Amino acid sequence: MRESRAWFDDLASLYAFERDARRELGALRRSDASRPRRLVYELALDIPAYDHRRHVRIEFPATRAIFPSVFVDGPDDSPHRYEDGSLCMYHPADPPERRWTPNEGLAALIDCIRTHLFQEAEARAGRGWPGDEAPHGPPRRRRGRR
Amino acid sequence: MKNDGERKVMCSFNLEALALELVTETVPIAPALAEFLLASAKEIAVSLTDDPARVSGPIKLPDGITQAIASRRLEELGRIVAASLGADSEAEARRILSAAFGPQLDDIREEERGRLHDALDRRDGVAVATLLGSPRPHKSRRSFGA
Repeated sequence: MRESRAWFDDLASLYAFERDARRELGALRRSDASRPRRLVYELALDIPAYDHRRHVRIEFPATRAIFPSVFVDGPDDSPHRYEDGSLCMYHPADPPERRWTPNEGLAALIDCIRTHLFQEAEARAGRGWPGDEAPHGPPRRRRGRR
Repeated sequence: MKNDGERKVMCSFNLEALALELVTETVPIAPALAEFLLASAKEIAVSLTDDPARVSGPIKLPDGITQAIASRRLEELGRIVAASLGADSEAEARRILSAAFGPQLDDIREEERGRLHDALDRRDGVAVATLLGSPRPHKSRRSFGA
């Protein structure tokens, strides 16, 4: 049976979505993964002020709603990760001005990731979590592929 | 600028005078610095720097520093800065530049770390974006947890 179209099947929208990221980062690896189908970006990011380089994998499921999962190599002890190890960068129920929204594009999501990695590094160094934190609780994600 | 032990090889006024003479166009700061240092090395090897105000004779080098010593040090710095231009990450650039700047880079990084932490605590989106080198204002998110 033919799969229904995902938001990233529209190439014009996809190019617009990643335009700024390509301009700012240059190298950006995009692939189409299956089972379940998803769009995947892989890139290397430096943690600001720490000089640690991390391999980052951003996955977008082939759904109508654009909700990314972000996986990073390196230490994963953090109060703000989902059970599958992906980053909990914002509360999904927060208003748009307090979370990433798809119309901001991939570059803004990468900004969120860099900031989150910095926040985790600060917490691991015993300096506390810089910025705001939401109380833990639902919604949850099931443990996934990684 | 210090080296050959802790001896200064040139006073800051001498560097300013060289810059007045050698910097003639606006280009990105890193390649401009490399070119300036390499060109200054050649200049000082040939002659002392003229006083740009023309009110006194050429600017003297510190006691015990010959033109050859000053030139060698400027060229060494210029080569290090030029090498850093080929780095593929900020961390790699810092590693290369540490040969010239040593602990000063650690101080800068520590200052950046503290400023970013404070900016996140203050929810200062513009300051966070500036420290990340991002053209977009940063949204104050609430990091979430599972």
